[in-house]
Amino acid sequence: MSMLIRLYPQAWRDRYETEILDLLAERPGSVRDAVDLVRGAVDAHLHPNVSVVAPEPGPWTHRLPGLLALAAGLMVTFATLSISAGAGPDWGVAGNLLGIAFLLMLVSLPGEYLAPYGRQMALAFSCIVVGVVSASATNWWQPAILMAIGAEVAALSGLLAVAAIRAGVGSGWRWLLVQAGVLGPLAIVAGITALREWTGIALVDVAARTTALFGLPYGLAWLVVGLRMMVRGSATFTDPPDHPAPAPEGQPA
Amino acid sequence: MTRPLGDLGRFAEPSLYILVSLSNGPKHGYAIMTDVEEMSGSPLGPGTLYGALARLEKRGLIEALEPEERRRPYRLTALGATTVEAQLKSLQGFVQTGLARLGG
Repeated sequence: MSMLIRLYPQAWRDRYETEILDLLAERPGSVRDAVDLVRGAVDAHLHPNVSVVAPEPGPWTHRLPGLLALAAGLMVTFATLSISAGAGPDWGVAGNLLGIAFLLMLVSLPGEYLAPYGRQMALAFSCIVVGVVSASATNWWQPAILMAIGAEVAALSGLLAVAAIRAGVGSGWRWLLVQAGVLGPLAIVAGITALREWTGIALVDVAARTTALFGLPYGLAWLVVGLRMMVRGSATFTDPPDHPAPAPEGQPA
Repeated sequence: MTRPLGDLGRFAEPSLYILVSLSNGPKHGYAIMTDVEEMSGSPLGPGTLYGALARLEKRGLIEALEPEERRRPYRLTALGATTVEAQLKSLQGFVQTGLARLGG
């Protein structure tokens, strides 16, 4: 039933989606309700001005998560550019920037938002840890690196997905396509590089500088999501757990 | 000066029920829906409910309050109270006329 909400215009969803999802959760859906929702969606498209009410500005603290996400996007973008451009790649600076950016991504998403995806995120982080530990213990780096790359892509993809959903930037299949466009090339290039290191099979001879460029869309995606989060506002760690709804009206909590 | 609800088309009747429902205090969507269903004896769909709420809010007859958890209560404005009172008095006159004619 909640899928039908996607038929409504974005402005309507921004304003009423949270409420109506809560309402639908409280009573069993019926065919009559489904038909009524479809009729309502048609009406909302025909009379778009009816449901648009100016949102109230939220407290300044709700801009912080967006600011952190924006900073993370800037750092990823700068790190990838610093590797791929200039006289020589500065791996130290880029590595530090990427590490800080990863922490900022985590902090920008309050735990309650990550909680529904906890199992997947825990699996991804476990794979990273197991990969690194097993590599250092057995000196069997190649499979461990592959595992770590896969897990990192999954974790980064998950973080961006949660942030984008919180920021209201697309959903469902549309968002999956964006994800595939942003992280797909990165995963493919990383896989090819790892395969070359592991087996000596060079499908494509990809230089490190070129590989880094594939991280650029990811940084840019965080910039977009961060900006959107800043504009719309987002709940922070300081919000009580039982009151997760951010101040801007109608934003999904 | 209150505008009649009749120009709300298919949302006119649900809107009147919603205004009456909010007459005794603020309610959130689900509470309004169950209250209206009790009063009218017929189901009120979620699409119709929010279509009507949007129109009433736009006209300034109701206003949204701060969300309580995921629920956002609505309350009647002064204009909304005047409007519902005028509508009910009009209906009262209509009902009295009809009953008098039946009786007569």
